[in-house]
Amino acid sequence: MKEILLPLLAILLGLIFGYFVPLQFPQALAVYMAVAILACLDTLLGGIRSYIFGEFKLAVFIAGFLTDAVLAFALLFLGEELLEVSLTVIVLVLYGMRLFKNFSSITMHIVQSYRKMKMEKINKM
Amino acid sequence: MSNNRYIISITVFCFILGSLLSLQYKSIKSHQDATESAAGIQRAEQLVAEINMLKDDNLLLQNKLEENERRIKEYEQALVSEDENAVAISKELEDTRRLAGLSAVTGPGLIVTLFDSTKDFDANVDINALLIHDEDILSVINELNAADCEAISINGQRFVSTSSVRCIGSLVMVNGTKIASPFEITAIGDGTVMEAALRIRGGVIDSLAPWGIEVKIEKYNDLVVPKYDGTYDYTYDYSEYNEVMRTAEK
Repeated sequence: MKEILLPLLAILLGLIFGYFVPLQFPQALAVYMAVAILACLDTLLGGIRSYIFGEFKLAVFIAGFLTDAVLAFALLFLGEELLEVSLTVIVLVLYGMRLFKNFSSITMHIVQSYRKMKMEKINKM
Repeated sequence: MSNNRYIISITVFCFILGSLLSLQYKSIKSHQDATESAAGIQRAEQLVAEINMLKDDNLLLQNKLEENERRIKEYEQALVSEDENAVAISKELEDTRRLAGLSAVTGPGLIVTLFDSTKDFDANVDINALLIHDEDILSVINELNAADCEAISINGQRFVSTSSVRCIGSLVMVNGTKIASPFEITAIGDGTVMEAALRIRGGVIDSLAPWGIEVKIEKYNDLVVPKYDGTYDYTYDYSEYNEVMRTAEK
């Protein structure tokens, strides 16, 4: 139970913190912010997935987030400053795909474990 | 151990995600507000440009009107110089013009200026009571007329027999032209008599004083009251004279 409640509480706290902190990003950085949010979400879902499959490792978790985020920002920067082609969509789509993949494997796992539980119950009877 | 690590890292990331989300929300919201207010400013600028254009148009038309009137006068004078009868008619025409307020009047008189109240209104007082209304202007004009005033104009609008003074919102419409506070009523006549008529105890100024409406009266020796810019229409007049005029026009 702890592993669900604490993160939810943290999200709420984060929302409140972000709203009241006297800081505002300029409009030019909105794309980077969007990618950062996506990277965060992706890392979270990836972490949850790896935890469910019993292969969670802190080093991998953090390193994965950092490298992905750095790569994404580098791509964005490259696209905007040097190539003058917006690579935003690519980054967003890739992150989106990964999000869905992670999410679907999480739901699959949940459904499977639920089924297993049911089968075990029936077998016991 | 691994479980605790997991919980801590996920919690930290959730916190970061939450703050990023609300930060992004904030900046997008402020950007929207900024674009909205920019649109408002743009609209205002557009309206100002439109007003200026209309003002220019107005000025142009006014100039045209004056020129046309001058030309009519020239024609009249040309006629007059030819015919002796015409001289008499022209004189009569001049008189009629003056009676109708169609010519400017110069002479001594006074300027009565009415200012909206600068009193701080409290919640118990209707703010409308602190503004100048059509009735206030009309009562001043009435008093001036009673004191044998010969010509009156309000903010450059000649007050004639068919003139109306009417509130429209915070402005006042005189002769179909909108004018705004402060209202300058120029009156030609005996300045001393007129001022006394206004200042009489329990008179107009006294009745305006409780509302904080300020009245300034200045006497001048050389004032100009402009002529009436509008026209007189007698569409519903079926008197004998008007019928004659009508058939003559046809």
